[in-house]
Amino acid sequence: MAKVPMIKIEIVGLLADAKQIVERLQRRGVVELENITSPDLVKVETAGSVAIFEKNLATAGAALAVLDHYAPPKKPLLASLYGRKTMTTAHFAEEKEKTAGTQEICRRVLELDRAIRDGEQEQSRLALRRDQLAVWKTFPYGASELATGKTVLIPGLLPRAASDAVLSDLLSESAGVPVQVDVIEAVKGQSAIVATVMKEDREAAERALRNMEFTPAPLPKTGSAAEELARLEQARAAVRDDLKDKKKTLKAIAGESRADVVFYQDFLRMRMDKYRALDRVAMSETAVFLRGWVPAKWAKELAAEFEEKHGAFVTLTEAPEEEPPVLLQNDAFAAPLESITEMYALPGKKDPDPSPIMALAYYILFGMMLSDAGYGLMMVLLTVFVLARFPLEQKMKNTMRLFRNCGISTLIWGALFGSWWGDLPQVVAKNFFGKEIGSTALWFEPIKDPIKLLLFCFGVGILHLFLGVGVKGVMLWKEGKKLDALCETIPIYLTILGVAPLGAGIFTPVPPVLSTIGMPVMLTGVVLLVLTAKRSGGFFSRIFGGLYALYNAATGWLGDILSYSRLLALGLATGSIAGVVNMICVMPSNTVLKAILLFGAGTVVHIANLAINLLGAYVHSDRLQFVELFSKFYEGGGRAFSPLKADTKSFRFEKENIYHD
Amino acid sequence: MINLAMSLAILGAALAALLAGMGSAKAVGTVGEAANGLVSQDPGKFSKVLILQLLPGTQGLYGLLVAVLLLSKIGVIGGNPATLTTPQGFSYLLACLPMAIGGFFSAIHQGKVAVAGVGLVAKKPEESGKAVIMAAMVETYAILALLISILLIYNI
Repeated sequence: MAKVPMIKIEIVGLLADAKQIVERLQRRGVVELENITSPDLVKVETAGSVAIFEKNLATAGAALAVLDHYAPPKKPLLASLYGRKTMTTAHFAEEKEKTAGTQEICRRVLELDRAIRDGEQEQSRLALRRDQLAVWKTFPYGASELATGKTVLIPGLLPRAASDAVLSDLLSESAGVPVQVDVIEAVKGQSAIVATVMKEDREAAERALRNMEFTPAPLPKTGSAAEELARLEQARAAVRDDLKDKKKTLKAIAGESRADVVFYQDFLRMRMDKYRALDRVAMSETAVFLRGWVPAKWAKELAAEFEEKHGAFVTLTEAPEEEPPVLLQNDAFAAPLESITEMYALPGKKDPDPSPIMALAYYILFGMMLSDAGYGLMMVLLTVFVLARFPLEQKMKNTMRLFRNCGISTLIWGALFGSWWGDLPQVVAKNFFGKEIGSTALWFEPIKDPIKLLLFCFGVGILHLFLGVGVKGVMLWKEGKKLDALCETIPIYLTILGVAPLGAGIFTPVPPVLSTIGMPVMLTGVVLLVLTAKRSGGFFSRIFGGLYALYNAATGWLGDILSYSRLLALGLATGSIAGVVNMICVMPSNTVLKAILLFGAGTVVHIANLAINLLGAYVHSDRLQFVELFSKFYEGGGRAFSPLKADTKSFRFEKENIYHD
Repeated sequence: MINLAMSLAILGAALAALLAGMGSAKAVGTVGEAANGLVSQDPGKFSKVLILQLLPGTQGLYGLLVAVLLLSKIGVIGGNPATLTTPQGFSYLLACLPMAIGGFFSAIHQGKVAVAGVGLVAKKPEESGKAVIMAAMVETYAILALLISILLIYNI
C-alpha cells in the first residue's frame, strides 16, 4: 500500500433526502465533498445556522470552563493513552435527546458564574465600608445627629498624629475660632478626631480643617457606626452563604452534567460540520447534487448503500487529470512512519508515499544513533506494555509502534557494539563480583575503533542515498522515461562506488583489488555523468552542463555522505554518557553505597540520558530522511484527505464507521 | 603526576565543559524565557516548547562528554594519571577546542532558532515538529565538532 487510490463520486438524490444523505456521509466519514457551483443550481444558505452553532459552542465552552474552575475534573494519569470512549448509535440517539436540556444547563452555569462574580464584588464593597467604619465604632451618632443646641461635632480623619491639645491649638489658631479636638484613635500617621465647635463657627472651622486635608467620617445617616457595622456583618454573612450555595450548586452540576456538556460540544461540532458540508452541495427544484473524493476501495460499497437507502443516483469516475487528496495507508511495518512523512509534506501527484521506502532505513539509522541495548530493551518493554495494556487511538498506537521498532533496532545495534546501559555489566561484575568480563560486543566496540565505525556509517549513508536515487530512477522508468531513468542512476552509482574504496583508503588499508577496480569504475561513472547529465542542446552546452552536474554531484554527495558521521557521534555520545554515569556511581569505596547509587540515582540519570538521546536520535533520523533521502526523489505538496466525518473529541462511534479498518 | 602537560590537557577538558556549557546555558535560558511567555497564555503547549528548550542543551552535554572522555584517557579520573609530554598535553588542549568553541556558538544559534520555533508553536501548534527539525539543523555542527574532538582525543 501507499497512497490510497481516490475516485470521484457524484451523488444525485431527492431534495427531500438532502439532509439524510449528508448525515449518512458524515457517519461513514469517507467522502471529501467538493464545492459545486453551477448557474442552473441553487445553493443553500447555511451561514446563519453555522453562526448559531458557533454561538452555542462558545456558550458550552465557557460553561465547561466555569465547571472546570469550580470543580476541577479528575484526569487519570496518562489520560492520552486511554483514547476516546466508544459510543453506539443507540446511545448517541439517547444522548442527543438530552442536548436541549444541556443547553439550558450551560446557560444556568453561566448565570451562576455571573452571580458569583457579582456576589464577590458586593463582598469587597461591604468589606471596604467596614474598614472605613471600623475606627468609628465607638462614636455614637449618625451623620444627621451631630448638632446639639449650641455646638456641632465634626468627626473625620486628619493625616497627622498629634495630641488633643496640640491639634486643638493648631485648629483654633488657623480657623480664628475656638475648636476643641478629641482624638479617638491615631494610627500610622493618621488621627481619627472629633472637632467640637460652636454652631456659628462651623464654616470657619471646616475651612481650616479642609486646609489640613481633613476627610469627613463616612458615618451612617442615623444610628451609630457600631449598629451599621453589625448590619454590614450580617449582609456579608448573607452574601457569603449565598456564594457558598451557588458554588455548591455548580459543583453538583459539574458532577451530574459535565459529561453532557462535553457531549453537547461534540454534538454541536458534528452539526456545524454537517451544515458546512451542506454549503458545498447544490440543489435544483427537486434534486440534490453532491460531488467529492472517496477512496476507490470503498467506492462501490458506498455507491450501493446510497442507491439502496436513498434511491440516489451515484456515478463513480476516475479523474486522472485532477490531483486527488492524499490518504496514506501502509502495513504495520511502515505505517508508523506516516507521521514522519506528514511532518515533511504529503506526497504530491507524482510522488510515491515515502513511508514504506524509508521505513527500514529509519529504524536502522535510529538504532545506530541510540545504539545502547539496555536503552533499546527499556523502549521495547515500555512500548509493548503500553500497546498491550491501553486502548490507544490509532495515532498513538502508531507512535508506540514507531518507538517499539526503533527500540528493537537500538537493542540489536547496542548488542553488536556491546553497550548495555553503557558499560553496566562490566561495572557490576568488577565492583560487586570482582571479575573482569571484558567486552560484550557481538561485533566490536566503537570507541576501540571509531574509524571502522565511521567508514561503516558512510557505507550505510551511501546505501541510503542510493535508495533515494534508485526510487527516482524507478519513478522515471514508470513514467516511460527509461533513458532518463538510466542516466539519473547508473553514472552516479558507478562514480560513488568507484570513489568509495579510494576514499576509505585515506583512513584505513583497503584490499588492493578494490582500489585497483575503483579508479576505472569511478572514471567510467564520471565520463558517463558528464556525457549524459544534460541531454539536450548543442555539444558544448551538453559538455558544460555535464561538468556542472559533475561539480554539483561531487560537492553535494560529499556533504551528504559526511552528514552520516552523526551516526557515529550520537552513538558514541549515548554509550559514553551512560558510561560516565556508571563511573560516577561507583566512585565511593563502600560497596553498599555503590549499589545504592548505581541502582537508585543511576537509574534516574540513565532514564534522563535515554530521554535526551532519544530526542536526538529521533530528530536526526528525521533529518537524514528529509535532507539527505528526500532531496533525491521527493517533492511533496499533496493535500491531506479530509472527509466529512464525525469529528468528535470526547467519544468515537462504535462500529459506526464500517469502512475504517 | 601533575605537570605542565597535564595542566594543559585539564585546561582543554575544562574549556570543553565550560564553553559548551555556557553556550547551552545561555540558549536554554533564552528559549525558556520565550517558552514561559507562551505557556502563560496557553499551558497546554508546555510539552511542545519543553522539547524546543531542551534541544540547545545537548551542547553542554557533549562538552561534559568530551571533558570526561579526556579526563579518563589521561587518567585524572580512574586514579592512574598518564605521563604526558608537553606537546601531547597541548594537543589534548587543541583537541577540545572544536567542542568548546563549536559547542558554544552552535548552542547560541540553535537557541535563537528554537526561540523562533516557540513563536511557530504559538501560532501553529500542529507544526511543532517542523520547529524541532529546524533547530536540530544547527545541532549538526555541534555533532561534527563532537566527532572531531572525540576522534582526536582517542588518537593522540
